[in-house]
Amino acid sequence: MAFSASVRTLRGALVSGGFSCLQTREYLKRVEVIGPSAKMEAKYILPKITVQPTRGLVDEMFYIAVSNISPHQEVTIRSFLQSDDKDFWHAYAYYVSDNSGVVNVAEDNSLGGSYTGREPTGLIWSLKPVPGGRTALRLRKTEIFTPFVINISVYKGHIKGDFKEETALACAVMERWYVTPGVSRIEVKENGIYGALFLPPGPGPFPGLLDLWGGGGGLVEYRSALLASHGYATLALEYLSSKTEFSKIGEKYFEAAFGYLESHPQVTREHVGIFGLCFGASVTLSVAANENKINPKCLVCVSGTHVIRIGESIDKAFADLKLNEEKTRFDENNHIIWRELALPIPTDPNKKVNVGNLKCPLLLIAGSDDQNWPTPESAEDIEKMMKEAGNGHLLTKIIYPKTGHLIEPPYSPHIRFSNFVDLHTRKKGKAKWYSININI
Amino acid sequence: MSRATSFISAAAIVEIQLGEIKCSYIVQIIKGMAGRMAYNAAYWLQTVKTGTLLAQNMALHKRTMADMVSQRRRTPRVWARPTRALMDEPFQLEVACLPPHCPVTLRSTLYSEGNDLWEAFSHYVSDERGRVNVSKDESLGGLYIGREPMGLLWSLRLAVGGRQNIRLRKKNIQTPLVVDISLFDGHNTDNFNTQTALAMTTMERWYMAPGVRRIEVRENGVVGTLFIPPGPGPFPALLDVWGLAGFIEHRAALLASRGYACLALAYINHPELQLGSGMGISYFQESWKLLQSVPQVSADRLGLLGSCFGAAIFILMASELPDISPRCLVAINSPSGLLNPGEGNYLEKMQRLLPEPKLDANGHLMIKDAILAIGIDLERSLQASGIQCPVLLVVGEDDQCVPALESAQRLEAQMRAVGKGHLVTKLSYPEAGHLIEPPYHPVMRSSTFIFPNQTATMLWGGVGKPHAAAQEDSWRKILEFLDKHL
Repeated sequence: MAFSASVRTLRGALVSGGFSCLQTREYLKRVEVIGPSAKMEAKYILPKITVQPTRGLVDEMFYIAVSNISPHQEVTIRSFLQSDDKDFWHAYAYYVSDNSGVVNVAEDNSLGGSYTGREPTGLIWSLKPVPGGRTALRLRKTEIFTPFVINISVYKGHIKGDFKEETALACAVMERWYVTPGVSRIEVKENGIYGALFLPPGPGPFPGLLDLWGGGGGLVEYRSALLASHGYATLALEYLSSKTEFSKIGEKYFEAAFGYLESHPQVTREHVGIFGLCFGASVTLSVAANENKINPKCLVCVSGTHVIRIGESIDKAFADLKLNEEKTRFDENNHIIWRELALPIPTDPNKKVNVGNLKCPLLLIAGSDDQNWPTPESAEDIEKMMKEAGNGHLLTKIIYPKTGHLIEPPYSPHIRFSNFVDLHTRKKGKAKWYSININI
Repeated sequence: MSRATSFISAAAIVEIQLGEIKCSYIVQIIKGMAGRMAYNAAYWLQTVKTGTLLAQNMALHKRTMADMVSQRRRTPRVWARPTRALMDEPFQLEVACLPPHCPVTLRSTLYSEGNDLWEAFSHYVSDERGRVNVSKDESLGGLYIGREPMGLLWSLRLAVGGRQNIRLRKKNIQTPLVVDISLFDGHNTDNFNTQTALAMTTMERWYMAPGVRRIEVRENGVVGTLFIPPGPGPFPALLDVWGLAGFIEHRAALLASRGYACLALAYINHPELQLGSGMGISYFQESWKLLQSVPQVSADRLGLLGSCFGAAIFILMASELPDISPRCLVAINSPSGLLNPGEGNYLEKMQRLLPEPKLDANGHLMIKDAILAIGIDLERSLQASGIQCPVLLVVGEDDQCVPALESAQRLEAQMRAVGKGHLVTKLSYPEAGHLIEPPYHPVMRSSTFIFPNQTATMLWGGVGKPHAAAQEDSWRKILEFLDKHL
């Protein structure tokens, strides 16, 4: 590497006419002399892990490589982090170095561990709680302005047992952030709405987004922070929590939230959209389909269904669902499957959101293996309804195969089931998000 | 314009092989003059070009801001990638959603720990799609011209109206330097505070990579800070010292982020040191032993890296002391006319022996000739012939503080005289000054320096772009050198 850098210099020098042939030869001779003798003295070359970037956004691609190990050496690469809730998560994969003693996670195949095959970002999306700790967890960031600090280590051999008893050959540390520097967070508690507004740096005005999460409730901020890092003034809205009485939350609440965004001095009035996940997607569709009430520029609905209609209050929507409670299924591990509650998709249009009324583009995303809501079936039905109503050209529908319910920002670990508290009934259980075994 | 600047860049990175001292000195002066003339000519031509372009686009530019916002999908956006990076990593800056051929000013600002405002600005014109790409487009004015991807960092200077002549020093290197980049309409040079920016973005520049450990060392009388990369090690290690300015940590932190355990050593002007005016040779021996004894350090893979007087001390140590056996040595702008530190207090000794340094036209202290005078006295000059390891000498030819070029040439001659010339690599940068820092650091030609009994403005030397290019190139070569030998 040093040699090639000198050649660059050489070219520059030749351009300026500063070198003669003799000097060039002398110079090259000197470079060669220094090189090999130093390397031959070295007894132990330290294995090296390179992580690029060391500090990146959660949705940014990253590259991990290991070098300076023996050729055809079996190694295990492990990622390890401690979540905000103080739980430990890890993932590991087995690799074999190539002829020059290099493992390139982006290109090489994993031979086992948390994932197999060529998975450049597998060390993050296959993160699972460490055995011995709590189970059925979701990896969620509550402290938005600190990063996930992930330790990447490489071990000799394909480790099958406990990592605590092994010594790593080398380590590197990677930070994954939900915010770029300059994004600010404003607590919102006015006009009866509760939430957190994330603003990108600068005077604005920015396009706005209303960010709605699902039945898990509370205030989930990290996706809003990430959207603000991409230039959108995003309001994470709290609507299912102890602060809000369910009987009072209805379309008026969401319209007020939308109006708050529209009238904010740093938001461009005509450029406000809505982003909804799960229950939030149903809210999005309901509120947008209401004629002449609000005017979003576009909608994104992830893993949602139009079978739940939000009218005067969400209490009524929950009550409707409760009527079908006996359809709740449990799988062999006693994990709750709720998708049947909304099936079959009713043919009566009064029982669904009138998506034919939508006047703005809609991006509909669903996972075909969603065990929580019947989102693929809903997506098909929405498409049918919109085509019949004549606004089918506004719809972009994407159904991902073998994908579950929790479609989160990229490279987040995917969870098959996790603890869930039904806010309406206050019952605790473990909800199932998808069924297919990923490690085939 | 671009050819002129590329000529300067090519000329800036030249390795001087041989030559009589006098001859090369004259050649240097001529090169320097020619370079400066070319630079000025290029700047003048750019100004003319800007004027023409502005006149041509006055009609387009008559649009108001409100028009721009309503007719476009969004307001103009500026973004940097990556937003969080190490200090020696480049970044890309792009602007979008402008009207086509719109003149804009990009301004970078930074608040240092002394709460001084640093700023830099440059003038661009958007292309036909309304975009500006700082990595590819040419600046037409401001603090730098031409294609300078990192210009908004290395041309930072203290804002008018605040304190002046202070070096950018970060005391807490565990937090980043936060740089704001704002976009303004038109080509402005001042009064940014009275205008509203079109857009803004923020960047963090870090000295420490995540996982690097910082440990304050106060052991056996040694005062310093140890930076260790993440992992079990054992790592190759470096002793890092600076000049008479005192204790500086950031380069050691960056080296640790690149995989070397690095001990930043304080040896002068530190409140916790016994001898404020310079510790003796036994102190350095103690710190060498201390570094070897750190468990995460590979004891037979130690190197020495120093700037200015610290480098001279290291050269002396490597040459004269048998128990100090570094794998390699890097010396940046080292003077060769330094007294043997001996028992210490050499700053006091030096001040007694130095002839009265001169002041230049601006009242800035020029120490170089005084030190050169000492250097010519052979009895007092540094003997480097005992060095056994590869040596990398980094020289800023416009160094006004120490006679760096002459010292480097003398050292090389000494090594060659004993048949060790092949161990020496010399990097010599015309128009670069004394303060060759890690890449993209703001370039300062002079700044306030606090001596024990007086405060003066010291002239360091170095001119904007060539000095910045020297910082960038020397750092890369230093890392390659360390990678090869350590």
